[in-house]
Amino acid sequence: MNWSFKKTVLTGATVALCAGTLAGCGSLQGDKQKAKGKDGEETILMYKVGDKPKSYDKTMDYINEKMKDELGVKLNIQYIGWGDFDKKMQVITSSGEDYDIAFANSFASNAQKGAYADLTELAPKYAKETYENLDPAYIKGNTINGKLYAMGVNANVFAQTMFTFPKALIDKYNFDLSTVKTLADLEPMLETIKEKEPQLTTIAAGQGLRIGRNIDYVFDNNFPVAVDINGDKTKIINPFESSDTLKEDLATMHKFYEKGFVPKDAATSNTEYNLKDNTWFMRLETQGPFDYGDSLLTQAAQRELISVPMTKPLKSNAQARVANYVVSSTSKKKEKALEVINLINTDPDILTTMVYGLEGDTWKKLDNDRMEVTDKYDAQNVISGAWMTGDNSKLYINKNITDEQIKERDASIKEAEESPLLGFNLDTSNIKTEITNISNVSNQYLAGLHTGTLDPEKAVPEFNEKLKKAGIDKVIKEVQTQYDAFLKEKK
Amino acid sequence: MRKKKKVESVNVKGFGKKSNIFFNILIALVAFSCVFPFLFVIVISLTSEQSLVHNGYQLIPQEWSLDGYRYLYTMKDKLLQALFITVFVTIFGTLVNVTFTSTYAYAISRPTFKYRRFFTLFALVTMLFSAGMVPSYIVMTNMLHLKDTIWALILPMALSPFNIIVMRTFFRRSVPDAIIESAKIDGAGELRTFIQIVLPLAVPGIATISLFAALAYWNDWFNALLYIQSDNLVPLQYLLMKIQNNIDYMTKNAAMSAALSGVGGSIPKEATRMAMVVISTLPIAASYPFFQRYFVSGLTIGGVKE
Repeated sequence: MNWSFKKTVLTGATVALCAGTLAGCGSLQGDKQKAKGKDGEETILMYKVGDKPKSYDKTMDYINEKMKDELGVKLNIQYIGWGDFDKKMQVITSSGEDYDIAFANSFASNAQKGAYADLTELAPKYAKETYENLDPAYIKGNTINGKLYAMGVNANVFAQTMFTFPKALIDKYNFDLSTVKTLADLEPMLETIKEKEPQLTTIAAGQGLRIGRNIDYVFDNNFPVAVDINGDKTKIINPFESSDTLKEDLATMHKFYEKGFVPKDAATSNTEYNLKDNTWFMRLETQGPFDYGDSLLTQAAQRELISVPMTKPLKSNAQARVANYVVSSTSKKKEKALEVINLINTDPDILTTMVYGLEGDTWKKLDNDRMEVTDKYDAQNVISGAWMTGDNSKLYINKNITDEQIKERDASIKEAEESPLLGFNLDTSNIKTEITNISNVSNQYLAGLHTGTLDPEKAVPEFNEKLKKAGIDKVIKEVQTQYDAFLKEKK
Repeated sequence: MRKKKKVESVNVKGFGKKSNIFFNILIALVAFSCVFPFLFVIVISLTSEQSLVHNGYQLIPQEWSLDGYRYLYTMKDKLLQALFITVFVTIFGTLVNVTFTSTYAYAISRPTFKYRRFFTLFALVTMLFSAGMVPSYIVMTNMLHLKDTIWALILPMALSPFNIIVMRTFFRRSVPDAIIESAKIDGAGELRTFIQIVLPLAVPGIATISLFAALAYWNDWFNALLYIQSDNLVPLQYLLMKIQNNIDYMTKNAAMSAALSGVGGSIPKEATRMAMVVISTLPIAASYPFFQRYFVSGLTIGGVKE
């Protein structure tokens, strides 16, 4: 009796829940997008990182109309979330699934595995204008073993790390930013803020914070094998052993931590300090020429931000590959795919629509290839940000940006130094175990050291000791040998 | 008092008073450590964002706020759709799973079935060895063309070898052969015997594997990560997972805020995230008491594998 009562309740509840949700909404059908090429149209499938914008259908209808006129194909963009992209693309590439274009991930290793089509000959033919417009740094950075595997997005070809502050606070306390050259110079300012604005986090630091000046890393800044840009550029070093500036900065950071400028849990925290929110005083940001000074940051923050450089501008591998598009080696339409990439990179209208949304809605076209963003513009509701879409010099330029800023941009691109590592690709086959070991050791120490949580006096020697045991000497030697060969060839 | 003591000492199956207290405290501690994280999550979900940023997690927050849930309400379309997918997959998937599992288990539990050894091994092998992610991905997408369909969330878990073994043992031990024989003598076919005679006897077992299956479906996000592309097929757990992954990505690339402002803006605040955890846990936690009674008896019976 009791049993049947409970059963009735249970089934009743399930049915109610089912019916409720069914009535509320409910569709079990995937997007119509997946029915690719259903009406006999040729479709180019592109995997892109990000979340699908709400306005996707409307915007893509417009773009595809144009694309069909020009090239006779339609573009189908499939989005994969930022955090899942690596994992999912890995499965897609290893399963040999058929796709045409993708935003590259783990570019060097995938290219070496043969996941991408060789574009050395195809690109100058089918994406001629794009190819010619690219800064040479992009071609160098995306070439592996003499073959071009990706089309970089012509944007921030160089980058530098900046100290960024909310302008309101700088004005309020009359700070003189021109004196700021290094981390240590910030101390008096941070002290004032800590005292007068205790509700703010003085330095917006989380486990991802990486300090250090003018060091270009062979892989990335989580792997302590690098070249000192200000020192001997032909020598591969472990910066924690040989870079005095890094040691100096780490010591400063530790001092800041002790003084309470850095949140206590910074080494493990993934707290978000939104640009918009008035919760922080100083943060590190990466900027390049197409950010037009602080214009882009200010636009994203919706309040005025101001930055001073911490590092020299550098054209590096990392910058050349920050956003690059590859054609799959499994694609049956490689030529068409390149033509699509070319169109996105050369047609200002398509490009601006992808970056800002539909004309007349979220932005307005003005004369002289200028444009104006309306208040309907929403950074989350566009196909993708400018830096990862197409040639930024082809975008209609926001009317806020002065001609002078454009000139400055072009001059700064010319002036910026190329990293000696640009175009260098490491063959890791002999040092795989060591690399894994070093990564493991680094994971233990890096966040702690960079956020100042660990005392470098003690932790750095300890770290170096462990790195030695993990085989860093062998790695440096191997990298040096390959690097010497690379330098020789370059000459 | 004295009399009472005497009565207690007769109770040979119980613990002594001291050890009883000790075990009660022990179990209470264990129970508390299970419940505590969830209570903490509820508290965080009710904390105001400001006090989270400045004070971190606190057991009794400086400032309470319903903002987390208010924000959830603004994204209700997305959430309801995800909840709908999760509920649908859980209910439908559990039905499918239990049907397949119990029929398979019943077949191999019958001594009259000639190939029972083969089919037992057949199920066991998949428990010990699996082909791996990439081959199953190829089968799902290239052969079955199930990518980005609701079936991709249901079919991969439609049969679980562990549950088959549990059920097989259960049928063997709790359904006497004599009953099945007598049903046969009365003229029942195999199907009728199964549905009308065997199943009602096996309710505790069925309830147990239903709970296993329902939990597995409810908590599954990995299949969604692999196979789901469309936003409207994303289940609740994967929605949470996606947010978490985006946060990890943002922390790793802390210095790219301008470029990633589109991502940053889409990430709900801490309290909202905790509110989502609450919402995604409550329904399954609430359904647990319904299963629990059978679960206890089912688990002990099915626990012995022959």
